[in-house]
Amino acid sequence: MQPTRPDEFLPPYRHSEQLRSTPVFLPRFEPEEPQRTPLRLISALGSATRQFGADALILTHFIGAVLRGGLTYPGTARTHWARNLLTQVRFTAVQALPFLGTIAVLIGVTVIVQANAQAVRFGVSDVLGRILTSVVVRELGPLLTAIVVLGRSGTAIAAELATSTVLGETDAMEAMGIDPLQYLVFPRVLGGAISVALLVVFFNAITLGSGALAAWALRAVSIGEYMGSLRLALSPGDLVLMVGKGAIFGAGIATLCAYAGLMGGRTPPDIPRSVTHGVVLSLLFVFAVSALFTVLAYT
Amino acid sequence: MSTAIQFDAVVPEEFDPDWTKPLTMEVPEGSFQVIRTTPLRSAPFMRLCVGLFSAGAGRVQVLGEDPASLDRSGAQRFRRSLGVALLPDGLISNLSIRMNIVLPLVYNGKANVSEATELADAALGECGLQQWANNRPSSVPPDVRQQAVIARAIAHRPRLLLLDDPFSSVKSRDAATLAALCRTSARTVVIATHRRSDALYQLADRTAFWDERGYRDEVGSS
Repeated sequence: MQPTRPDEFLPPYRHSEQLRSTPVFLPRFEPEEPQRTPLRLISALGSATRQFGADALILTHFIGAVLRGGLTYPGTARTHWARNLLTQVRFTAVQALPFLGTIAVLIGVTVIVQANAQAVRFGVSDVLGRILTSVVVRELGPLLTAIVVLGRSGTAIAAELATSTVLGETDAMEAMGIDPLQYLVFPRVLGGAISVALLVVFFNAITLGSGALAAWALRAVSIGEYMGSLRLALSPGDLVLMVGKGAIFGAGIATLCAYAGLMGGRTPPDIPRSVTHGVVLSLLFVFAVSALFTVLAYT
Repeated sequence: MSTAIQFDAVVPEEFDPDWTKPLTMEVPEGSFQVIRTTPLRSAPFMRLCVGLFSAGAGRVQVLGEDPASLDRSGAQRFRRSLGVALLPDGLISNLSIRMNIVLPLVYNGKANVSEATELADAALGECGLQQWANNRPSSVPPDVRQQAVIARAIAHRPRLLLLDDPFSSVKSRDAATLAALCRTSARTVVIATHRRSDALYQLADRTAFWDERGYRDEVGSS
C-alpha cells in the first residue's frame, strides 16, 4: 500500500503558497546571500544597494507596463474601463469629501488662530491671508490631501490587489489573456490623479473659507481685508502648482500602492505587509515630491 | 493528427517536490483527455501550459507555441485561444458571476459589452446558472462557483480547454452533463481530476494517470 502524504488532502489552495511570488509580468531578481567574511558589512551594503537597484528597476518596469496597458485598451473594453474609472473617482474623491472637508475646516481655523496670535504680537495682522496662502495652499493643502487619500484609498488599493493576488484572481486574468495592469491598475492610477487634483482644490477652498471666518470671528481683520490680502498673495501659478502637485501625488500613491499589492506575495499574511509597504513607499514619495516642488518653484 | 499539447522531459523552473520525474506526454488536437493526478502536479502543469510558469528543463509546446517564450502581447494573444480554469478558480470577487464571464470577452476584444453579455447569458444558460447570474462569487455555493468557472472558460468557444479539477464540488450527474458540454464547446479538452470519476472516464478519448511513478496512459485508451 502506498504511504499517504498528509498534504495530499489539503485544499488545492495550499498550492498557491508554493507558486512563485513575483507576478508573471515583472522580471525577477534573486537577492544574494551576504557572505560571511570579515568584510561582511561592506558586502551587506553592496547587497542592499544591488537589491535597491533591482527594486527600482522592477518599479520602473511596472510603471512602463502600466502606461503601455493604459495606451492599448481594446475598443470593446472602453465602456467597462470608463465605469471602472468613475468608480475609482467616486470612491477616492466624492466619498472623501466629508472627511477631508472637516479636516480642512480644522486646519484653516488652527492656522489662522496661530498666525493671528503671532501677527498681533508683531502688529502685522494684514499678512494673515498671505500666511494662509503660503502655508496651506502651497504646502499643507496638497500634502494633507495626499496623506488623507493614502489613508483611505491607497491602503484600499494595496489591500484589494494583494487579496486579488492571494485569491489567484490575477493569475486567472493572465491565463485568460487579460492584462491585470490594464484592468486593475491603470484606472486606479488615472482615477487617483484626477481625484487628488480635485481634492486639493476643494481642501484649499474650504481651508481659505474657514480661515476667513476664523479671522472674522477673532476680529483680527475684516473679511474684505482678508480677501484683499488673499488676492495679492495668490497667483494663477499657485492654482497650476496645486493641481499639478495633486495629480502627481494621486498617480504616485495609486501606482506605489498597486505595486506593493501585486508584488506582496501569495499568502494571506502578505496582505497587511503589502499595505504597510505601500504606505511607506507612498509617504516617502509624497514628502520627496513636495520638497522637490518647493525647492524648484520657490528658490 | 496534429498535437495540441506536447511536453518533452519537462521539469518546472521552480523546485517542486512533487514533480519528481521529467514529464513527457502529448495530447492530440481534437481529443478529450482526462489526467488523474494530484493538485500539486496539476497546478504547475496548467500554468506551464498557459505560460505562467516556464520549464527549467525540457520543451513545452501548446498549439504549436512555447507559451513561456512569448512576449507579453504574444502571450496575451495566445491565451485568448484557450479556455482555462485554474486552481484557485480566480473568479473576481467584486464582480457578479455574469460580469466575470463578460470581462474576458470585452478585454480580449472579442465582443462589446452588450454582445459579451449575450454570450455570457448563453454560457450561463448552458451551465444552468441563470438564477445566479447577478450574485457575487462569494455568495454562491461551491458547485455553482465551479460551474461559473466552466461557463467563463467555454463562453468564447476556445480552441483548447484546460480545466484543473473542475467538477470536485459538482454532483456527478451535473458533472457528466458539464463534461459533455465541454466536449462540444472546444476542439481539444484537457481535464485534470484529483479523484476517480467514472462519468468522466467514459466520456474521455484518453485517460492518463500521473503520480510519483510517472505519467502513463491508461491501458486501452487510444
